[in-house]
Amino acid sequence: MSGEATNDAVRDERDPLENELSARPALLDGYLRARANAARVLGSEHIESWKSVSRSLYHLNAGPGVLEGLWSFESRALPRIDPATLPVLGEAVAELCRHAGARCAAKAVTGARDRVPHGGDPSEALEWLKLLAQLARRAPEALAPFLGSADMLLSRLALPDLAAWIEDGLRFHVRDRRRRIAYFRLDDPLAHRRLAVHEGRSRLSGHADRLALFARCLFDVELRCEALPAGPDDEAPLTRARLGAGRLLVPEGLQAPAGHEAKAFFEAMTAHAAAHLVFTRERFAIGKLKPLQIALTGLLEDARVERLAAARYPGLMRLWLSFHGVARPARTVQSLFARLSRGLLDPAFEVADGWVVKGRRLFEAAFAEDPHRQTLAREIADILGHDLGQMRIPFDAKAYRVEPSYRDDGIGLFDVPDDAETDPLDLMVEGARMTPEPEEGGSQLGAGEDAGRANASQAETSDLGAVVATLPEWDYRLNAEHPDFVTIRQATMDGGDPARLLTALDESRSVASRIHALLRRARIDRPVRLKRQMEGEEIDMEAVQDLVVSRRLGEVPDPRIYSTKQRRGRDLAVMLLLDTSQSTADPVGDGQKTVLDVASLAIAILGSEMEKLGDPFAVLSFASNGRENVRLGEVKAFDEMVDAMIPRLAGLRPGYSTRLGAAARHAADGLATRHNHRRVLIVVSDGEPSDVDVDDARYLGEDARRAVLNVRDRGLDVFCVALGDAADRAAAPIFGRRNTLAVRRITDLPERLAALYFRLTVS
Amino acid sequence: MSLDPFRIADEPFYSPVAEEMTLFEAAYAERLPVMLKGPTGCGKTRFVEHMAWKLGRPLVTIACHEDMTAADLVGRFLLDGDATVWRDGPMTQAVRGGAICYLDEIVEARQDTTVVIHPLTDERRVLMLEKKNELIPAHEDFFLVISYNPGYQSAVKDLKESTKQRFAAIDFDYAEPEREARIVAAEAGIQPALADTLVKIARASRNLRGHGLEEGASTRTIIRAGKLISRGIGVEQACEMAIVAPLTDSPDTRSALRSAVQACL
Ligand SMILES: Nc1ncnc2c1ncn2[C@@H]1O[C@H](COP(=O)(O)OP(=O)(O)OP(=O)(O)O)[C@@H](O)[C@H]1O
Ligand SMILES: [Mg+2]
Repeated sequence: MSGEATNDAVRDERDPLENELSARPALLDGYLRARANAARVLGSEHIESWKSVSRSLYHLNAGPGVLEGLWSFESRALPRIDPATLPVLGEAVAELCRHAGARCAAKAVTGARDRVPHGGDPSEALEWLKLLAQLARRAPEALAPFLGSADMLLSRLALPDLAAWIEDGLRFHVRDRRRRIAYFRLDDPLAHRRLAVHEGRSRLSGHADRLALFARCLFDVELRCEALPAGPDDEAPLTRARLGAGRLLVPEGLQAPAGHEAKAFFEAMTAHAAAHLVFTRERFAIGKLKPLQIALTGLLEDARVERLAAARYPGLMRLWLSFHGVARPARTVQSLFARLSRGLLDPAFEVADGWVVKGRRLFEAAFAEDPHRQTLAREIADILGHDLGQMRIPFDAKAYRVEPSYRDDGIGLFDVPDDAETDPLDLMVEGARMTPEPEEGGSQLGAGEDAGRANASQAETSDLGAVVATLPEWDYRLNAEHPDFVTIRQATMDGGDPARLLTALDESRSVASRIHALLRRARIDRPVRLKRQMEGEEIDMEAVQDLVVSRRLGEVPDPRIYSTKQRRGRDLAVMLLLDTSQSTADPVGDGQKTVLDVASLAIAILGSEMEKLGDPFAVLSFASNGRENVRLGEVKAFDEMVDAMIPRLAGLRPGYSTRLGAAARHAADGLATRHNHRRVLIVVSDGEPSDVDVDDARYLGEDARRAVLNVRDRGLDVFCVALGDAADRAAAPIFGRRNTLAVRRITDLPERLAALYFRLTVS
Repeated sequence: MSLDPFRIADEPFYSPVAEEMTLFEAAYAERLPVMLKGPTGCGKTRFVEHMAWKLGRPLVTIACHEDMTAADLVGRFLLDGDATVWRDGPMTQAVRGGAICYLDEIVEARQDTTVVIHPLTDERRVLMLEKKNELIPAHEDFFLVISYNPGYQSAVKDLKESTKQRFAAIDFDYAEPEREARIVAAEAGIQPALADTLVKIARASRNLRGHGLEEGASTRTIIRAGKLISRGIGVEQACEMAIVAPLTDSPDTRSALRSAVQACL
């Protein structure tokens, strides 16, 4: 390959850099070779752009280290690089030279080169280089220490998270150069704390959608992975994922590995759960099984489904095995189980222990006979369990954890009789108490108590409404997001008596008809091309051709020879987000109605108009009671009719606080799934964000502002209708003045809301 | 004008799925227009080529698209110096010369375009050249075949009921795994084991149909991946180029597909 490159490294007298380099034969040689390679890959079209990159770097006094680093970067990256990004690459390297000096730049460039997989996608390495250039520009002294820590950081953080970590360092130590250096050298404890925070981001929430697709892709099953936040005083939080009813609940406390490994970990977890969904055809009867038997049955069944899944997808075995460590041989349950688990998957794994050997032999024989016979797990579990007892190896049910931690806790594999009031997990704990091992008597009594308490706290949580999402929250003081910080729960929508609302609707007929007249004129859509028009901004060539032909033939030509683009029809979806916090209980006007009454009425009127126009819309209500309990009520789903929403609107009751950012994020998640041309989120609120667990007056406002920005980034439009005298003062900084509509006299709301809607949808 | 360039000399490789050859021959014998229904890249075009070769008829293939007008099908007057001359469109050529005319992905064409085939599909078997004011009776060997991908169906783009009902339909789908692997191995020139893996990947991606993907990877797609691999590209990378990247831009879907590719290896 390289010999070939030298051969066609022909001289080119017209290349100025080649002439300039003639006094430096070693560098010249490298240049010619790189140029030939670039010419071959890029073709004549982009070679000039390539040359100018090298030339300008040379003129910057980049030095041979940088240039050669760049060329070797390119020789790896070129086959896959987008030629348009060449100047970006050049600019990044130039920036490094300018700010951090040639030596440091050379180190950065060669480091980046090593991140380009051979023949692979160079875009990540390019991003990395851009990140370095940015750091060099903002804090030149930080680059060298940062490069020293780079390997460690990259092993723990993905690039965007690493960028955020850098940002933290620069913000925290704006003026203090020495501390900045310490931060990037990882000598500053803060650097480690921020690292931990950003690592935490690789928790489940960012992966959930991808994992659901992954499970479906492999096994055509529906599997939702959901984060299970630990309750505020949850004393027995889950330590492993729990599988049930097509859902995999992943406790927040589960220690997932950091950075890139988190991806593999969650995939291993998902693939394992999906394998159960496919291959664990029926649940095991729990009957009078002892905890040890339950644990062993789970272990064997885990191996059985993984073996079956890997027969179809061999790569999964690699994935799973990467989480099976090498347990030190010991006569403990932990060691024996770990070695058995691995031994059942990995034929190359050598074990001498008789118990493991026996388990393996029994399993292989039964599996070879019929791998789909699920009871083999039960039968072998009984034998192995009995042997353990004979060996006098104690099993501590309370301390038992399924290993490796990507596997679910196995409880989902067992059938709990309907009349059992206790959780099978408690059964396991309970079981341990009934057959006490002599040494462990004391602690097991405690276990029983724990189980009772765990049950009580669970009852309390279910009272709060089902958890539908966990969302991040922005902390302006840290200039960072707290990942998975806010729990969104589904508010129950008890319909109320619609009589009052219907009467109010009836009384507002004149308003409604004005609104109707207004909205009928609203038109919006993607432009479509119309051919053969009398006028238009472009000429329709085909029509012209026909016109000339007709003329020749002596026919009357068709004069419509233009084409034009036009908007026709409507294509938008609207989500209304209604604040129902305590302040909406305030009376308005003559005191007969509350803020919430008027808002409900306005939505009812607008809703029926939107339905007539055929615009899909949804309504959510929100109120919060601390970050663990942000309640969103589905007043109307997109696919429901307006009639369904009236009783729910009537049933809304004011209460609690206003955690606006969380509500907006969640609403946007729902709206973003729509495929309409335009998607609009309208927040109707009467106050500034606040909540019981937040003292800092700025905090929730800043979070809401951030949330709105993020929602806009996703291509959604966001507006606020601010109710009451002062509400717009709070809303404008969050939504922007232009996107805030102040409605001082709340009784005007129906008309104002409709007017806003009109403005939004015709413009 | 000769249709010789449209004749197929060598047998195109086609591995039959079920009865489709018999059905096609019967329809041809009766000159009953045929609609080939099935997802993209499952072998419809190849099948028609094979049948045209088998029946010894020339094959005129027309790929339909949104901007296609009736004139693109039947022909138009062109300017030639001071005179105008009529130039037959491909459809007219097929009608006159007795070819098999294959309208690929007919839903893509606008409905006012598709109506020109109506008189060809009933007892009349004629083509109207409105511009020329001429009625051409079809050659006795003329045969009309269209393809139709039900996955594409949407309210805006579907065939008119009156068009659909003029055709006898033959259903196509991706071949079952073993046969699809044989096709892939033969077409891409790769080892059977690798073809098996590629088929596994394709089948996994088809599970995402309607869940993030409009369509999964077709036989065509994995043949392409196979060809890249036989050129020395790594399996993962070839799948990235030929399967993952073309199918979707959504990061989540891409990532799920990539992981599925790895699971198959
Ligand atoms: N049964 C088959 N026998 C032989 N080759 C096949 C078969 N099915 C698919 N192929 C291969 O798949 C490729 C794609 O098939 P083809 O172009 O016929 O698809 P199609 O159904 O016409 O797709 P589209 O709807 O996109 O036009 C062919 O080039 C051929 O290599
Ligand atoms: Mg399991």
